[in-house]
Amino acid sequence: MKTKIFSLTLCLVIFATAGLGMGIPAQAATFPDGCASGIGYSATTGSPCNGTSNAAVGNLPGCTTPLGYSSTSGVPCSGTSTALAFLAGCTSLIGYSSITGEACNGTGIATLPLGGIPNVPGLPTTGDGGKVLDNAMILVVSGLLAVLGTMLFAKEKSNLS
Amino acid sequence: MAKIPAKKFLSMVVIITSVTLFLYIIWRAMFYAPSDEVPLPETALAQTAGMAAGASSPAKLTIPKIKLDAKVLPVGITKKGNMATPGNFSDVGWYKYGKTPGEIGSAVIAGHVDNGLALPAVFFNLKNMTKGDDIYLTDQNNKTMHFVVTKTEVYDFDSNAEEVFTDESGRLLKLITCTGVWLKQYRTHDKRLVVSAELAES
Repeated sequence: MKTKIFSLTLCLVIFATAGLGMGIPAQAATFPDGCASGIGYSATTGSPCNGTSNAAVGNLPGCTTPLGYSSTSGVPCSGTSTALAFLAGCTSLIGYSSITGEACNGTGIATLPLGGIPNVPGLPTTGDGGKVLDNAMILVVSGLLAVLGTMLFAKEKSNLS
Repeated sequence: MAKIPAKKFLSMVVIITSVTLFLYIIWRAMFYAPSDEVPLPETALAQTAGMAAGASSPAKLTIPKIKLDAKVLPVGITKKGNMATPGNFSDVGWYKYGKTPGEIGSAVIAGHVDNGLALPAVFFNLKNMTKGDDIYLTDQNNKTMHFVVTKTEVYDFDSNAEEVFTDESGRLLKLITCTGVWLKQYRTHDKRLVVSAELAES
């Protein structure tokens, strides 16, 4: 029983640490080349973006963009089984998709950064050294988990033999 | 087929996951720098300064004094409106919506000072540059320009450093990197080092 609790705790810790370290993405859906969602046709091949022979054209009922869920049916507005936080090729609602050139906000008019493209941008962020403590902590935890996992494995192996 | 006992299987999962996580964090800390750049259409380039006729974007930066030989990548802006940076710690980024090196005005290049494990990145030794030092920039047409350092300045990370981008007192090159102390609240260093250089010959 003790080992079982220990194993379960190990699993919980490892997945929590993995989630912390990797920053789980908001979307996991992938689309054919030249598609930012499952709606319409590929910008490069002209094939339907939903992977079938009939393309979904325009927004689905209850949707104003391919993002999120339909307000009437609750199905994803993306035209596939996965709802999108951002279109493929976008990291925010600002700007254009780097894949299709569509506006990232899902409408016909893109949102540009505040005030458009600034003539004078702010100074860049050019260092990550301050993250060393966070990274070291994750490395220590994952290293410890690897050691504990190995010990558990060795114990189980010796119990069986 | 032999059945693997549950606890043995679980421990194998723990080992594989934690080792994968360990390696991933090392890779990420050493090689992945989130650039946070906003994708904009090519027409955006025409809205701003754009590139002068005959000008070619920079490809390689060489600084003999600090033994630097880095690839130059074009970068735009972040969603906060700051100059973006390359997605790694070994290349430098040229602000593509600004001036092209060799033109009248300030061409701006930024690079990281350190990575996620606090190990030196491409511009770690930029702090050692002093007046009179040589900088060489090679463009896509393999033409090399020689710049000479004229001054170094330090700005607050959130200051309105307009002159860094708008100074048109010559054919200037500005190299930027982080310096100072880490601000946990903003997840960045509190200062920016700007090394200014002027075209000597090309």
